[in-house]
Amino acid sequence: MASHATDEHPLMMETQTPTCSSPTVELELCGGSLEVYRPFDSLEGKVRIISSVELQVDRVEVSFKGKF
Amino acid sequence: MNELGIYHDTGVQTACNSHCYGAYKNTARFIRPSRMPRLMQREQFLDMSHRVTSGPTSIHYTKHSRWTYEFPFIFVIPPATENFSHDVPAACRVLPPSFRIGKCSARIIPIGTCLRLAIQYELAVSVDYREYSFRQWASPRQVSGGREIHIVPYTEACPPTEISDFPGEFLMKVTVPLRNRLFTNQIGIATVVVDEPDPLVYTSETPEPRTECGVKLFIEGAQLLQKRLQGLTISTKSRIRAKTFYSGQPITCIPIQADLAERSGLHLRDEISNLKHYKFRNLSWIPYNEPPTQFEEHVATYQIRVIPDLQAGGKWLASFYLPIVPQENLTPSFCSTLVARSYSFQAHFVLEGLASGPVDLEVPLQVIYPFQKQLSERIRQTSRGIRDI
Repeated sequence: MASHATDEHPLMMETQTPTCSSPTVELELCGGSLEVYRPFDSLEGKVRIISSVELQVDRVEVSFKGKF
Repeated sequence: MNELGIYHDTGVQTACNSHCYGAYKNTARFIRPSRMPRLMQREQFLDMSHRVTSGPTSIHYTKHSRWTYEFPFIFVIPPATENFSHDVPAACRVLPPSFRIGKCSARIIPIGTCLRLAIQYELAVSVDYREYSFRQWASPRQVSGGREIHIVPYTEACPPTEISDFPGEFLMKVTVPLRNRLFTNQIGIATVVVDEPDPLVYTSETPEPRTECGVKLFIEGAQLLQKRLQGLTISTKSRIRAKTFYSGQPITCIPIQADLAERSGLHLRDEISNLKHYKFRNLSWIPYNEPPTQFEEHVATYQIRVIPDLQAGGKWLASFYLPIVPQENLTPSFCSTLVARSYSFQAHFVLEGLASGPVDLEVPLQVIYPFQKQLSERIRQTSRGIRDI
């Protein structure tokens, strides 16, 4: 069993590559990434999870946030 | 969920001071400064979430001993923030643009003097998973990632500014005395009047927009001035002033400078963008009878003596247009609950060959990214992008 089950990873990284066997998460947008998005544009794409071991994915949540 | 806030970054690890502003949630709940994180407060005003309930659309196992799982998602970027009060002007309900001003460097800036304002959009993903290892499923773990998305909203032109609603904000007309040389007798007066320019309009067809400011120059004085006018050169220096208002408390309308003294916690950050200098020669002068009467409340009049010669002299008018071509892309004029940005156009005139007082004027300037002209182009672009996948 992996020894880092309680690891916490910082949010908002472009892609994240934790240590050892932890998976990598990528966000791929259709049509590449537009330089500028406008209202009514679609943010459509795929979440890609790459792992060196087989995974059971229990939950995938994608969010679009605006922050000050 | 709809939260708004603002943060100050002091550039170094330091406690919040009085310039570290609070945040509010659903326009009602304020967070006391003592409860805020020490360095920066970042609050959300938009949170759209999508939980993928179905399984992955594809699972690959490559020869490099890697498993790849793919989950599709789609969002449509909304035109406005989620939860707004109808007391808020329509212009302030629009999604604010991605925005960042100010830089912080702990090496060169003393503590407390660094200000950074940002509006940031992010696409984020959070994944709960379990690994299959040693013939059993490990305990649940989480991994996350994301990327920044740059947003520019659609904004529409407002009607020309009602100048009387903005006392002390603009200066549309200046009257100055004219002399042959400094410290000599006054030979006339000059009145410069400017109009509010049409908005600077950014579209896909006009990524480098331009507009112009109408200028009228009224000269009244002795007849001998008429000959001087033919050779008069008007030198102009102009610039665009970006006014960023920010506050720790909700802004319910577009702020003005007069509010700075009245509202605690409201601040203004000025940024100046210089424009190309112009000289106007060989102007066409025409006689006029009535003096300009508009903008009487927004007039700067310097000490002028009424001299008898003026009655026997003449009155002449020339007009011209001063180009406004920004050297850099401008963020649209916007207002949100805690940050607002507006622009004005400042012009400095020198009547070369005549001694006169300074002529400095300031008029409102709108910067807009209209919806209608760009929508079809965006649809085509997006459709092409999707087809290319």
